[in-house]
Amino acid sequence: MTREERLRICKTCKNKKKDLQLGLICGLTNNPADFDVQCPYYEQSEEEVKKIDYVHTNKPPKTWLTESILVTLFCCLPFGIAGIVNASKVESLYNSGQVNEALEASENAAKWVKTSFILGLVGSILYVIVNLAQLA
Amino acid sequence: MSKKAIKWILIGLAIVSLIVIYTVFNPNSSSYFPKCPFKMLTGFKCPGCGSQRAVHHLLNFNIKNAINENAILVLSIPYIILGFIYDIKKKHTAKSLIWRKRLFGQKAIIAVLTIIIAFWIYRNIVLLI
Repeated sequence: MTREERLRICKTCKNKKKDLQLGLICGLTNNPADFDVQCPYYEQSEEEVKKIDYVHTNKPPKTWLTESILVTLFCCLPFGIAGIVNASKVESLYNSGQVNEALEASENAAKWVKTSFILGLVGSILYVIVNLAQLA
Repeated sequence: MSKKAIKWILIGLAIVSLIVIYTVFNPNSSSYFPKCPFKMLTGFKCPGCGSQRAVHHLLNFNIKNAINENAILVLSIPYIILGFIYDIKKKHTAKSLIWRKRLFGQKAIIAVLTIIIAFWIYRNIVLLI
């Protein structure tokens, strides 16, 4: 196996480490990989696989725009707006080749959407319960 | 039954009961519907104020009243449905990718943000005048 073939495998490994002089090395042995056919230390990192998928499919990560609009209209407004702001970053970062940053913006947008959805839901349920309790 | 099936049945039941509740009761004349926290704290309307009333009117096919309560909500429905279709769609042709970029690309998102903020300012200015 050549170094290049090994690197293709190491790239998606959880144990990979970056070394300034040697480049990509194994975080467990602290040496450049030297396996043949299969590495006994290989552990696939789903995050890395996802990144490679995005590079090859030419489709930017999910922007969460529609969900952001929905929570802006139905839940807590400032968080929904934060979601939209992050959504706007996803595509431009992706198109300029910054796949990691684009994925990060996508995850941030998802975080804002989910936080405001949960807050809105819990707030609404509490409101209804308090109201019903006053009736009883 | 699998856990997943139970989860979707519960979600379905919740949606159906919400639809029934919002069709039958008008949030305007009942005090059991949650109020907007932004409006309670500041006295100003947020971009989402009136959504529940608008949903009630929409479910009763009264589009004119729904637009009066929250125009952004009514106008955004076709846009949001289209957005979900683009999200679910796996195979894209060159044409659909171009339209996706036009409608949901960065410029479009900034336009959406601007519209929502402009609507937010406008509806409060109207209140003040």
